[in-house]
Amino acid sequence: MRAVLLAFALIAACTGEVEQQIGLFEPIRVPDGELLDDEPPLAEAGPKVTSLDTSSGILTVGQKGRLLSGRTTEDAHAIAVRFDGLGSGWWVRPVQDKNPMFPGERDFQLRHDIGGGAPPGVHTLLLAAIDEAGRRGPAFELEVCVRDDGLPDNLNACDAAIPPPALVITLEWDQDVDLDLVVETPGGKKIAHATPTSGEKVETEVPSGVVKDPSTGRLVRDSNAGCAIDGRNSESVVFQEPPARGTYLIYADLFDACGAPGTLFSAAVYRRVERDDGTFALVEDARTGGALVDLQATGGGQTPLYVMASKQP
Amino acid sequence: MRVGDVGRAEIAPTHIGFGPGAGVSQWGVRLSGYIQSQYQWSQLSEDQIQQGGATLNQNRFMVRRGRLRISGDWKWAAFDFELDGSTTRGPFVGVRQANASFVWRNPDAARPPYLMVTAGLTEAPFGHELRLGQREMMFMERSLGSLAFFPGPVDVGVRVRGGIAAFRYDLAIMNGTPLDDRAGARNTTDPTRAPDYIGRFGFAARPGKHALSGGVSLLYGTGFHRGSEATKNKLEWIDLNENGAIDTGELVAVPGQAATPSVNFRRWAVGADFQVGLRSKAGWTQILAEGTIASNLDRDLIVADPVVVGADLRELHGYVAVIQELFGRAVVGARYDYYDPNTDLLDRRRGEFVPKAAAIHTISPIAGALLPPGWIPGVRGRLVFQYDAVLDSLGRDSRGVPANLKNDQFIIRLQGEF
Repeated sequence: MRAVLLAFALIAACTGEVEQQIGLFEPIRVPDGELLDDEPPLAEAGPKVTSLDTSSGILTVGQKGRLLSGRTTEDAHAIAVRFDGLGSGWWVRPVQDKNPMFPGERDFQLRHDIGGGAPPGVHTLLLAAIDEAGRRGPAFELEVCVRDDGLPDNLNACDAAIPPPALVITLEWDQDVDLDLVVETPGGKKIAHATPTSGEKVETEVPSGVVKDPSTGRLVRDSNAGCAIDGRNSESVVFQEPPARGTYLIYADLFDACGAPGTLFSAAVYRRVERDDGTFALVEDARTGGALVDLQATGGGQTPLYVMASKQP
Repeated sequence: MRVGDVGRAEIAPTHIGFGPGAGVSQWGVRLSGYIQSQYQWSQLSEDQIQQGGATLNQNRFMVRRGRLRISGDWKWAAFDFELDGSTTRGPFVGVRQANASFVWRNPDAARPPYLMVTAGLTEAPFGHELRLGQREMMFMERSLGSLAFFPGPVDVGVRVRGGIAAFRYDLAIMNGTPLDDRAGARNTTDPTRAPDYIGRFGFAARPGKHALSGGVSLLYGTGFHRGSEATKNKLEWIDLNENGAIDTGELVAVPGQAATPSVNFRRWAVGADFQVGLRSKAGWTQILAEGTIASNLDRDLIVADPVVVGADLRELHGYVAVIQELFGRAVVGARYDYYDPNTDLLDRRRGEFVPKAAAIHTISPIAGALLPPGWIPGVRGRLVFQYDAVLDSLGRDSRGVPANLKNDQFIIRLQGEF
């Protein structure tokens, strides 16, 4: 019996199998690449990244299919990428042919996604060329900013000198349901998917001046509208400048459970804070949670569920 | 007692006026079955459809369960295979039991075996109600908390059970994805590699002509927060000026979203149950009580997912019930059932967090008539009426504040068994 177990262990150890990882926890993911478990040894004289093209240095959490392209020295066999100090390792994929316009160099392309493991803020993206022996050359550093569009902040996470909105009310939930954030202003106007600003209608429409007024609240997104799942499961109402004083009532409206038994949700209020050094931050002021079950789906035709109130001084 | 009944609640009065089914036996193999046909009425019923397409009407006749069971029972081995046909969510046929067992019997055939090892689709050994079996249960369904924790009583795994004197044990390692008892429910396969560990330690005694039983149950398992799949780009129209027409700046591109990872979380439950059977001239009186405290275990009603909420959800469930047999001809009883899917839920009022009630109370009186044994040879039956008065906060008043929802219901069920 012992011999049989030993034989099984030896067979398992000798087949050269590699573990398949989909890397969904990683802050950056290369869907057609491989995630290395071990840090490749550094060879200072190894291949180098000679050029890099990217459309923008601002990355959004959940962003899909971003492209990093560029060139390496001719001795490179693969290109590797990771966030400095974040994630569990390097993503690698082969480099391409020699570039006829740049003798002695090869092209590479890295299609990548930004995962939820990337905290908002400024980070350094490292790129390195890998040689035939699996050693990496010196890293090419690219400073990028990661932002989370679930919490609109006017890029305050990238530059603290940029003022974030004065007031942000968010609703996020855990199931793929069509849940709507509804905010009732002190004047009685309900900001919701069908009436997405705090501006009042004059005859047939809300005047454009009111829509553009920074103190007018605006619904940023109608997530999972009509059960067309968009992967966000969050909505926000944003006031760029302080809105009218009074009490704002926050509701959650389960428009359609989309086949799910219900959902847990969490609503939060964020306010702009100015620091002594002239920088700004968006700080959570209140949060409360709740649950809705499928039989409470309203189709927009009933009173939504009251969640909490927020007083605007 | 059949070996297959071991591990279910052994207290005698669970068989009020009903007893073991007559069945058809040959060579150790037994064929039996039962049908539950019912009419149900609910205050939620409307001749409309709900958002999403489901019909709101719940006033209807239905076959709740139609079970056909074949079981084998020999000296060292036993098996059970049970099919269910029902119209609960449209016509459906599915498997409800499929298991094989090794049995080390007690020489006294009336006592449970010392050891019974079962593999396959079998009951999860937690508490009293869950192990009772749908056929023996006098109330129409299990209590709300039990239904939330275990959408169905059976799961696939390995179970070890038995008894020595008054002591009873029942332990299992299971997938942790109970098979939904409501026919036609969504099929789910176990999403986690880790199994659930479930067990109950209890006792059963017969002091004089009365009966006592009870136990303590434990569950430790792994829950699953489902990640999201990648989505495609789409276009969204936000009618900023509310004029019903597309104007400049109102079309918003919503870029595709990358997939997000799934995350596991821990869940556990501790429960205690106690049953008393008192024999009088009128028949058996049953007093049943059960309580469970759990964490992240709700898998059906308000599905627990601590990943998004950011904190564990603690659930509290309990019930007390009384059932009185009346001279073998009738039965009356009542059950009070309490379920709180989130005991830590807070509400913010006037700038302060205050505890928010999410509890659901159900009061269920029952009354029924029993077919006297022997009137129709080989057949047993009962007609039972149950009213469920439900007190909850699932409704909303005109301000949107949670309020008691009108969702009382009653069921009249005819059950026949052979």
